[in-house]
Amino acid sequence: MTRVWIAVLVVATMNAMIKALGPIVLGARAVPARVSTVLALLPVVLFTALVVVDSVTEGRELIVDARLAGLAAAAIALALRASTVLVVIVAVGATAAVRQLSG
Amino acid sequence: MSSAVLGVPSSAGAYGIGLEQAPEALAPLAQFPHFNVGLALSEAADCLGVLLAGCARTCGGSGDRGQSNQRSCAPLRTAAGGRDCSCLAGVMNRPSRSREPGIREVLPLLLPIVLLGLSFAVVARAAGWSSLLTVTTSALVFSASAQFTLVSLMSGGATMFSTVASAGMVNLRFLAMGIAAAPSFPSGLVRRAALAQTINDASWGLAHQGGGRFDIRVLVHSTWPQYPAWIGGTLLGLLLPEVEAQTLGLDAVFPAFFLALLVGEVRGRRSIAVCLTAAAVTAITVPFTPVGTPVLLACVAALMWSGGSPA
Repeated sequence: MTRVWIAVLVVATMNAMIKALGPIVLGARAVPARVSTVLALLPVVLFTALVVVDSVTEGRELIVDARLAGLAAAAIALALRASTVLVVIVAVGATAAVRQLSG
Repeated sequence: MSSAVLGVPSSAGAYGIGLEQAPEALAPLAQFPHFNVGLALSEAADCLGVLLAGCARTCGGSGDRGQSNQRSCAPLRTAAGGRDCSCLAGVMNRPSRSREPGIREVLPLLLPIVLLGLSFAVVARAAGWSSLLTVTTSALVFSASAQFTLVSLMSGGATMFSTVASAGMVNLRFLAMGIAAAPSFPSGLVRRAALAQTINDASWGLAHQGGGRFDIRVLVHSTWPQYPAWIGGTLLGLLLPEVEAQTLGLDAVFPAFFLALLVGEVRGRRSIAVCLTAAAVTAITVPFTPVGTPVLLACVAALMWSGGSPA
């Protein structure tokens, strides 16, 4: 657990620094277009990677299990423009249901 | 929308709030997927406030801002048949009772924030985090995406470096937001650094006035109410009984949540290409690298597709 505490503190500090960096150091200087584009694409990359890791992997193995059902349910809910909280609830419900049904 | 013009991303879709047909002034919120609920709540709150105040003034027409002296208790109905309480609210809004700009706008977001905090606490507890750790994380990090990333990777056995780097990178968009908002900041290093801490998806989007200008008061006043909501939600989640994570399907919270965030970020063919590349890189490298590393390696997808003119 100590490592988790350390990670939390490091992330909190990084967060504060990331937010302050723009106004302090860069002011109104323009960011190069390429850098700006990469920054804008990073969330896409990270969220995609996290979706993959959290739905079809277990440690270093690729595994298909009930979580995939949850992901599918989430995708449907999102397509139907449900709010994020509802999407999460639907996904959890679908996963639990599949686990119950498959014993 | 405007944030795309500035080249800045916003994954505020996390709050499940978005905008479909909204007044021009709210256009920066277009990156929020479902604002109609928020708008409706906000209007309902306004109407209720006016009615509770005992009376309502009717206005001559949609352009009339309460110059008539008629008193009636019926909310105004627009020609289209919908409710228009803005006229009434404007009339009832005497200066001494007017709220700080920003608070009103963020009000509809507070309930989703509470619920999100609650779900964070639930998954953190399921991962074995102590109550103290959970609340402290919410208090210090104050970012749903970073916190969920932390829990997900740490409990999955990722290395410290991967976890911290991923959680940090997830929030790199705040760097771009800070750069965009900086010209509107007052001078003074300490003040600018402190003000910058109020930047998050919701407040940044709400503070954007168009043309690269930001209303600092909105930035500040739409952030601080989120804090008690976030901590409160976390505490509420801690009050819930301990649950058996697997049987209840709680591990599905992560892919669902990140998928929701992802959907809010994907705009246009370039981001779709990035998404598919990142998914492929991640899936391929999982069996061959330490836990957590695939998430970092996937960033090569952003570099691959960043050439050429901005999307």
